Amino acid sequence: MNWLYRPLLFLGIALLFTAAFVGLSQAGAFKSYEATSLSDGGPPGQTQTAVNSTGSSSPSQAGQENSAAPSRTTTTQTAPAPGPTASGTSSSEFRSRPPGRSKGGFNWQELRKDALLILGAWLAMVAFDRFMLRNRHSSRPAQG
Amino acid sequence: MTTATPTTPHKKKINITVVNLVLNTCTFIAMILAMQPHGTGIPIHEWGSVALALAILAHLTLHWEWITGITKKLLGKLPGETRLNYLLNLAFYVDITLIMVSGILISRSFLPVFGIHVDAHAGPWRRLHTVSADLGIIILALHIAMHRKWIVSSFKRYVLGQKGARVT
Repeated sequence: MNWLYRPLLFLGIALLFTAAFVGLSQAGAFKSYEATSLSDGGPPGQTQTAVNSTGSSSPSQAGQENSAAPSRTTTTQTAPAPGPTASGTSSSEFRSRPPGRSKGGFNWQELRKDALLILGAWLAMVAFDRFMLRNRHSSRPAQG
Repeated sequence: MTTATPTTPHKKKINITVVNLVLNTCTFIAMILAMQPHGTGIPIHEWGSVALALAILAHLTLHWEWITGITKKLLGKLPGETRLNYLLNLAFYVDITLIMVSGILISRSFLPVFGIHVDAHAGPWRRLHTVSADLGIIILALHIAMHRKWIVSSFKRYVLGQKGARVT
């Protein structure tokens, strides 16, 4: 039964973290995120209500609707959203996406950045290893 | 003189390193793809991430011995690298949980299947989802770098077929 209770344990711990995150959210720990997300977070609330009220309940419908959702700009809005989003032109963009790249498809710039990050971390670890090895070698005669 | 060969069927043993190699490669590719919701589309992004969560659970289960062993010794004597690796993995676990939770809470394709419709696609959970995903890729890079020796040796042994290569 190990194969069953071990993943369940990890899942249980993840649920504990989930409860902690939700608790923190209820306590208002993520209030600052709310403030910033209004300026660069997701689509404005009114657009979302309109999307939901069209009744896109099936997954495929939701998918078609939603695959286009991130690339939606404020031109699709039927009414200006209240607050800071009203003036934002890239309100539906993902934060990590560079402004102005609103069309769908893979973000190659982001992929390149991810690859460089992984390569950089790899090379840094190799360099650190070599540095430690050299230090160990140089300190050995002194000990002996 | 002839020697009798055993007729009992030889039970094939599963090579756990190969299982790990395949699972880790798939998980890595899935994770990189999950970081591109514009490229895959939201339904694939969400359902793929659910599969990714299951793959991560399998990955953790395969490393049960290491996790429990180090957890018991964490307050005692441990090499610095092992301790750093453990803490990094713990941070990764918490971060992935946050990515999954925030992703589910702003879900457009996954939750509607269960008859739950969320209006809050924007807001703090959306922002947390983006921030934790950005952090996740940094931790993933460090996680891969920490295990570079295992990656190189198992790749040489099982992909390139170098018999002399030892999996560390």
